[in-house]
Amino acid sequence: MKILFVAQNQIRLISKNTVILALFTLAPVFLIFLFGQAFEEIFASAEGGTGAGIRALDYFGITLLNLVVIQGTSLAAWAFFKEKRFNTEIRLFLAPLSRWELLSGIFLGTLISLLSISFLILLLLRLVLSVEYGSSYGVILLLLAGETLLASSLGFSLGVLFGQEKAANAVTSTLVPLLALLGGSYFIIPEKGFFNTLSYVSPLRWINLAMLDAASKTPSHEYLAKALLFCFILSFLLLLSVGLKTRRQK
Amino acid sequence: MIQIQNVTRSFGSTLAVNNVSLVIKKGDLFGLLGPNGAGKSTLINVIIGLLKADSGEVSFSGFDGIVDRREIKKILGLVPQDYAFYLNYSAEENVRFFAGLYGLRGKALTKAVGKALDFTGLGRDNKKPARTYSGGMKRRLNIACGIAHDPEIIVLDEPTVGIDPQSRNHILRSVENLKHQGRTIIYTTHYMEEAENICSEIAIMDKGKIIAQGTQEQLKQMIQDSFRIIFYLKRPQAVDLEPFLKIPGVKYAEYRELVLTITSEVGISNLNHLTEEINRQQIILANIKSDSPSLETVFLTLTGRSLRD
Repeated sequence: MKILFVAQNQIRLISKNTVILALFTLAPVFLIFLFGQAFEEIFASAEGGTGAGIRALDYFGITLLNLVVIQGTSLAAWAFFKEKRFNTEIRLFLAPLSRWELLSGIFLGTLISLLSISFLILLLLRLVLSVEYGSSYGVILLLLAGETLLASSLGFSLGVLFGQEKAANAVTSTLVPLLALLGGSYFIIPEKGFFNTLSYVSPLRWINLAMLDAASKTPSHEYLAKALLFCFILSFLLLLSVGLKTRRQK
Repeated sequence: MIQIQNVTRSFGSTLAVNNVSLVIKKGDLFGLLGPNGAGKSTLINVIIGLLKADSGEVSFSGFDGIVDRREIKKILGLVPQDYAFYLNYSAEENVRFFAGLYGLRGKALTKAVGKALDFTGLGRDNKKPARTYSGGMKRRLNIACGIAHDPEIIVLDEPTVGIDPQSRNHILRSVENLKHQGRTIIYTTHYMEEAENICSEIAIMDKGKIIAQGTQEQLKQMIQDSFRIIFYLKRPQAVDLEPFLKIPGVKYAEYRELVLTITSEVGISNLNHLTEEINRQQIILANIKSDSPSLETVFLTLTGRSLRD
């Protein structure tokens, strides 16, 4: 019950932060619209490659959506560090709840908030910009959920493992753009060569591929398992490291 | 009863709390008085379990410090020195959340929140975000968040720093009310007049050590021969403090903003020497006042320094 109480507080705190909400919902819609307009001609004239036959808006409606969701890492780190910033951690540590209950509550609240934000952006993109997500909405939502779990775990573990906001932010602001670059968020990954090989390590590559496939007219879902495994295994390992660190701190 | 036995805590090479032993009785309003950096907050953090002592132990009557940690947490309420609440939340939302952490729900929670807000005088302005509050209101909200779960022991760490006199008075009266309700209160401050006004038992801390402890009367008894003479100068002029400090019995001399303060350990028996020195330095006086021993004098006598040094 206490975990749910802390989680509920987490959701309310995030929902009251209008700056964060605007950054995570309205800004991406505007950005995707801009990218869609700017690259429309290039996409229309493309003959080969992954982007063939797809509108720029639909491509960035998936890849930039995933970039925004993985950017949720910084929101998860903020969720952890805000207790230090508001000095409320002193009250939380003094309350009759264990460190495990406290961290689980914060994590759960962040995860639910990020999930809601992700689904809200998806809805906005579909309704406002008419981005095409195909007919496999279940798969799209599942992939978003997996990625949200990964973003929450990554941000949260960086917070717990580093302990210092500046250090965690430095890692987040380096790691997330790198994963996005390798995952094809900014441009289409070449089909061969070094960059293609390197991109295999980015979970975003698999999530983007799985989602682009799910949004296509004839989805094969060949990347779905890989993308979800990437998300769940990485999340598990990250949360395990948090558990081990917390246990040692006890 | 809270018993602190030979507690020592250091940070690197800095000894913040040095072999401190104290007994705080149930129902006491216990003042921990000392200048900034004396080690008060560190000692408080050790008492409430936020910091582990390097050596020594803290025990609560009926509880074992380690086995019943959760039970002790339930009876403790902390009002930290810095604001500790969410600025985007209203007073009501903040108090509701922090009281809820202690298992209060539903009507019991609503009642506890209302009681805490009324007690701290925030009953009317509790819907606005805390970031819009004045310093005094934030201080009072800090208190409301620490007492809403109705703790038996309340620790207030410098709760009146940086606020207007009106809010300070409100807080001091609230603390007295808490004592009348039977709470045990540990109150740290570097304002000696606050400790004088409300505390039933006082420990004076300096450089990590308890240098004196007792009731106000007991502490003042320790320095019954001490006397403070205050010379008010008519106009700004240079004052050499060294000759004053060489007069037998003079413990402390300070000159600040037209006020020359001399603390003597031998009553007024050296008053002649003091006036001679005043004349020798051709200091032109506007007024002279004498003070009976206060906690400030106690601190001066014991350490040779002012509380605000």
